[in-house]
Amino acid sequence: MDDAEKIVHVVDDDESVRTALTRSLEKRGYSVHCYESGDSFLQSYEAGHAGCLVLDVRMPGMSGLEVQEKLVEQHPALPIIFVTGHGDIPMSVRAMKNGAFEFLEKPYSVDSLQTHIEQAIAKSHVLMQELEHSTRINHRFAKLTARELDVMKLLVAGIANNSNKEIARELDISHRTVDDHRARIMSKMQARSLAELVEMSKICGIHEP
Amino acid sequence: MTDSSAQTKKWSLVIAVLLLSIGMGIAVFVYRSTTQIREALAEEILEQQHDVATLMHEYSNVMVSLERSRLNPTQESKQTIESALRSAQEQLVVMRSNYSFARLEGAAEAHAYIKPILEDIGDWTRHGVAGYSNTNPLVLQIAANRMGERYDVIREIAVGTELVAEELISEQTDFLENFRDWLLLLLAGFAMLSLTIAALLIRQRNLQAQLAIDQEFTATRLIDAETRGRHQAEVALLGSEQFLRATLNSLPSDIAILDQQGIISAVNAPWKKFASSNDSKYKEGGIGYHYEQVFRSTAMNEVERKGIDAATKQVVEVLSNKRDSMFFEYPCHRKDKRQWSVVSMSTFNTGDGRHAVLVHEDVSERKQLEERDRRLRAELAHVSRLTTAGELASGLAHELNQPLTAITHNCDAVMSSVKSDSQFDAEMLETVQDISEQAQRAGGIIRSMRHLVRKDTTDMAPTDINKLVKDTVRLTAPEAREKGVQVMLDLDDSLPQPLIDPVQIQQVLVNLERNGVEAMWQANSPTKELTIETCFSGADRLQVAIKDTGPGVEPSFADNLFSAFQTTKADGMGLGLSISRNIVEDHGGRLWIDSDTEGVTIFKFTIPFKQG
Repeated sequence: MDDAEKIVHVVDDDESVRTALTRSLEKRGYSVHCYESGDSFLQSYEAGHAGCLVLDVRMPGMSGLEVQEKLVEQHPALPIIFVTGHGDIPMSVRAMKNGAFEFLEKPYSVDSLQTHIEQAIAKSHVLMQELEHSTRINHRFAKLTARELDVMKLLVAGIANNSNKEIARELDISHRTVDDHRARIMSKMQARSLAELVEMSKICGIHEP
Repeated sequence: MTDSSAQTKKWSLVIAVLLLSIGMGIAVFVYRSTTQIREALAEEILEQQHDVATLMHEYSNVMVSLERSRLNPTQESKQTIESALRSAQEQLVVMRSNYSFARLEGAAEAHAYIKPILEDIGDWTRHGVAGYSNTNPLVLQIAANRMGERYDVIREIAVGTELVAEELISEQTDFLENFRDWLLLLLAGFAMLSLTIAALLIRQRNLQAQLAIDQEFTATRLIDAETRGRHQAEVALLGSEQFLRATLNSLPSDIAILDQQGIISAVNAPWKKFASSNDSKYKEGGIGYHYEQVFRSTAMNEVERKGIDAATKQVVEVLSNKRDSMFFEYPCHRKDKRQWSVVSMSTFNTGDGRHAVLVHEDVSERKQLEERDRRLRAELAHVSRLTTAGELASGLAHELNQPLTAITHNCDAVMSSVKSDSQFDAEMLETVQDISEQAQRAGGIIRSMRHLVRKDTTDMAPTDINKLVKDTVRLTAPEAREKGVQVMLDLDDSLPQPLIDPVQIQQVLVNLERNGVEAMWQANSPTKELTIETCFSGADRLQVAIKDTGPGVEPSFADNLFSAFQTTKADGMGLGLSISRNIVEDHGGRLWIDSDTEGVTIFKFTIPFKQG
């Protein structure tokens, strides 16, 4: 699968819908993966590629909304387009609140579905990149020693008075040692400036504004 | 009764006097007899003493002759002894024939003793005669000694005879005295007896007299008691009359007593008020008037008049004995108030014919409650129908929208294929396009139909969930009762009021409760208990649990439990749980089944207190 491949995951309990969807979307140039239930999708789905999920709301067993709840935790980079034959307003509100990309009422026009799929995949790409970026940062962050972590926390805590001396006094170590730590942190995190380090610290979750 | 008692009295006196005189006679006779006997006995004793003395004398003679014979044992002395002994023996025989007393045996014994002595003496005299000639002093001496021995014996016998005589006398005397005592005792006994009889007779006489007095007294008392009883009965009657009046007056209903002709003979206070409020001439409750007249005067409008007509017809039927009782309900609405009355009637018979108790009761309050319940039930049914229709549309929509979606996509696939061909058939493309559009149109129709039946405007209000549960249980009570299910509540009073549409949530409650009730009824479960429980679910939600003791949900069915058109009921649409889940989810809550606990199916739903 190359990056140009547009992957659409379809979860619908109705086989005829799955077949028709696959036919038309494949004709429109998508790679379609079908699942008959939320469970089977969650079990076999592997993250790593941009794409989107066309999810039926009403299904026996796990409902579309329940699949969404699990997915948001495990795979936040997969936008969900809900499709429903019921079109319940409160349910769509709930779905959108939980971060659904779109909510379509069956039968929708395939053109409008395609439009949403395109947008969703584009968003997925962005999300993927963000995810990759944060994964990288987190990876670097994990390599910091405990002392370096202490120094970094103080570094990003207050830009106004982030002098090495203050940090040295705070940690009860020499400011030369702080200098060394600082250099190593910048190197390990591959940060070119303090501002970039602060941004990274936000991704790592240690920045407390 | 008095005559016969006097006679008895006379006779008893005669008998007493008779007995007393007999007793006296006997006493005199006995006394005289004893005196005679006493004198006779005294003579006899004298004779005996004489006899004994004679006997003694005879024996003395024997001894004297024996002594003489010892001194001079001659034939002559021997003859003297023999004659003396013979006379003694004769005397003894005489005494023995005269007296049969035992002691004389002693004398006989003595006589037997003497006989051998006489023989000895005979021998002596014979030998002595011969011996005298020889003058042998030794023989004489021996003879004398032996005689001496005998003499002592004879003397003892004589003394013994004397003793016998004394004893005889004393015995005789004792007997006499005993006899006299016995007689006196007998006399005393007689006297006692006669006295007792006399006493008894007197007592009997007294008793009879007492009886007569008693009878007279009893008769008086009976008359008294009768008088008193009549008085008491009168008091009781008065009491019961007052009691009845008080009872009648205390009843809120209007009550009148009618005679057979329908004339009012008595009324209670409420009736008086009821009758007089309509016409002042009935200020005494219309006593003496025909009830119909009074009754009709209360009619305010046409509806009421019709009701009264119908009621009156039935009253006439009861009065004319065509039926025993009646019960008739009719509306009597006023301008400002909806009212209903009930006329009921029952009859009773007294000595002077058939009477009837006529009761008017204002049942407006009950009717209003019933109407309110009916309205609530109707509203619920209406909402239920609406929601059912909505759910039906929704279910139908889902079922139809699936194939329509498939059609749309298939058409799209065909169009894509057609377009990819450079020599594509424009008409075919148009046809497929049309198919796709028609599928969309069908979808649109379904959507508008659903919107039409859907109750989109919800009336959200802060609602006491416990009150809602109680109302629901009350509304469905008839069904639960009919199906033998006991409904129990376990409600948490501290729950805040969530913002909900009460009618919709009530529908959920009705659905879940009815499911439980029907499940237990269908399976004929041994225990049929349904418990509705409310409690907190975390700090921001309330939870309602509906437990039943039914057979539980089949595992194969559990997955699709909440889908539309899924049902185990023969006449069910399979929408109840689907609707319920929709409603709960619309309220931001969750509905699920929990049947972990053994044999207990629990449906639970949560509702957040605040929705945002």
